[in-house]
Amino acid sequence: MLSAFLTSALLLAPAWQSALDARYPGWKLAPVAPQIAAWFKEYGLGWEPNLVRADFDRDGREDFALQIVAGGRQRVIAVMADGTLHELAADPADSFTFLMLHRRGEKDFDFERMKPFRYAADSLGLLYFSKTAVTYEWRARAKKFASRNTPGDEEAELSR
Amino acid sequence: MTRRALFALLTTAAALYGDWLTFGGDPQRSGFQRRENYITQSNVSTLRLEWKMKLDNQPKELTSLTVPVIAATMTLPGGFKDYVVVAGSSDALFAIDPDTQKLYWSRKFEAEGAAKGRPDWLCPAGLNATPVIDKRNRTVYVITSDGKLRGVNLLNGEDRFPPTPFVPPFSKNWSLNLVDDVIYTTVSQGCNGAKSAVYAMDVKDPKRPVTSFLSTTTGGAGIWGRAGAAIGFNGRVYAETGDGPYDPPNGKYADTFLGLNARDLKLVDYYTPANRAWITRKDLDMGCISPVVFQFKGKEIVAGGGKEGVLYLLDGSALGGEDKRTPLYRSNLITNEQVDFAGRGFWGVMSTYEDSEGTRWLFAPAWGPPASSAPKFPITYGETPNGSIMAFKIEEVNGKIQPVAAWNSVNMSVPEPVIISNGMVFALSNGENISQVDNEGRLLTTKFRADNPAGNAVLYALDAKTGKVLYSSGKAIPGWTHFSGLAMANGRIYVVTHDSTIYAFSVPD
Repeated sequence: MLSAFLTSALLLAPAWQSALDARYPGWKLAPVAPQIAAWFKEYGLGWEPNLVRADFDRDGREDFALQIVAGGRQRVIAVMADGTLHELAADPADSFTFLMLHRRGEKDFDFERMKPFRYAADSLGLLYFSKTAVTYEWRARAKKFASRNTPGDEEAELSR
Repeated sequence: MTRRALFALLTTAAALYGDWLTFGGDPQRSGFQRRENYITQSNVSTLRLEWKMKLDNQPKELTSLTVPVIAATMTLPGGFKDYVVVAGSSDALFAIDPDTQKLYWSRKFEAEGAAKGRPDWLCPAGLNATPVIDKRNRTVYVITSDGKLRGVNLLNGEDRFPPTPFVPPFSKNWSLNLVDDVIYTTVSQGCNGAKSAVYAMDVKDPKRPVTSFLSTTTGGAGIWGRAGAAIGFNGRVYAETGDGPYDPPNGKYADTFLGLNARDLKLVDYYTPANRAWITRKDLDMGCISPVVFQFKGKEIVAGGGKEGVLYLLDGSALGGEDKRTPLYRSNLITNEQVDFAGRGFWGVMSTYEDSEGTRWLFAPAWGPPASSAPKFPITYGETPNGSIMAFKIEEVNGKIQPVAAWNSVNMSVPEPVIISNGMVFALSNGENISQVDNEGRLLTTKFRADNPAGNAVLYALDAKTGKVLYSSGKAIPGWTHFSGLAMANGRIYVVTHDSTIYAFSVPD
């Protein structure tokens, strides 16, 4: 379920488009289950289930994260403003898996440490229907994303 | 006799005498007191505290007395008597004569063994499940903290059979249900290492066989709606689970409505919301509420919700459709716009009845204010920052069954599940401090929460059609209560508080 707005937004970024085409020939945005699309609309979350615009590396420029299907896998790709690509995840296709944007300064709760915290930079969440959620945060020194599982309280309890 | 006929008999038997034999008054957890002959809309304004009684029970963390259950109008040599039965967290059981305010009898059970680890408010290691009364056999069933089912004579408190292992010792288990000589309960929170599950025991079989359905093979997926499991008119056992791993092929059913066979508890159906990942990630457990079951236009409807603040109506014969992700109806966000995991959303159990004009009503205990996306309530009584009872009419709109907002009550801090009777809704604002963590994210202690309640418990009588306050107990109940509810029979409404006190409200003769 790809909105016209979303398609045109991508078409307007030829550098990104060609970078993606080169690395993931024939890629398509991952399909989104109608229930998830409806739920996003209801909550007015401000991003798409398969496309997030944010400044992940805090350089003042807009980056993208996309959930695409390429090579038979559903992949999450971060496309940085400088044109570099970072593949963050590759999983079997599932239209109930969606992206979440955590804005810089947003409050969240770390159930592994049982502590509230605020995001230091725009960060990306990947929510699976049948698996523990994962959050990707940019590490400036390493110039790449670091991932960590972000379970709910019960799952965190289990891992202790 | 067909099973349907048997269920009809079981539900109408309670109606004949105004009994309140189980949490919510019936196996479906409707909260509807069908036969109340004394308290009416015309005299409810004269309701007053008739008596109170401090019981010999020690609270365990936030847990204290269970909601009472009542065998009404028992025919005894001395005349007709009501038996009000309430259990206590320190493995106590009391039977009270509400007319004399004296104990018929009391029991202090010796629990076998001890819980591993230190108790806390999530795992109090005490008696927690509301008992159930088998009036026909004059037996009260209760689970003591060691996980054993006790069956005692309603009239004298003597054991009917030896304590029988039922659920894991020192697990946290929830209100008992009884249908067709099978006792049901649910387990949550992983207390003392117990996995979350629904349990059943056939008490008619001398061997008292136990069956179970684990909602997870690891942990989480707790079933902690205080009414435990609801039993449908079709005999199916319904429960809602909380956060945890989700992997149905491997037996993990977090944040899901379960539909189980009666007695053997085989999984026959389930429904998981499409946004389950969000619910789990944000700690918006659906297990904080028990489902309620009612019939509407020839369908068996299962209604529930959870901390997310969304209301679900499911078809009891096909909970989640073919893909297990399609409900009959899912509301927009009605409450908990803040996505707060501690004390927002729908908690406890919703209540329901069909009024004399054939309108089906659903009353939902909402913790926190309505969301901006909530349907507009035509009748309101000011802001409800702490919580309220939200009333809906169930209607068929364009061929679809859905709730239609009717009224939102006065502010309550926070509401317990309601009782409906004689065109009135009886609600309890429990006065509990529902904060779970401090600003640093540390879990608040029981002592802090107990020493800093939000207020005192307040009993309300509301007009069922409009939500207008017809009575408020004000400061008559100085204490507060946790995860409780109300009971009502023969002209009295019962409230329990954390300090192990039971209150009876009635209208003057």
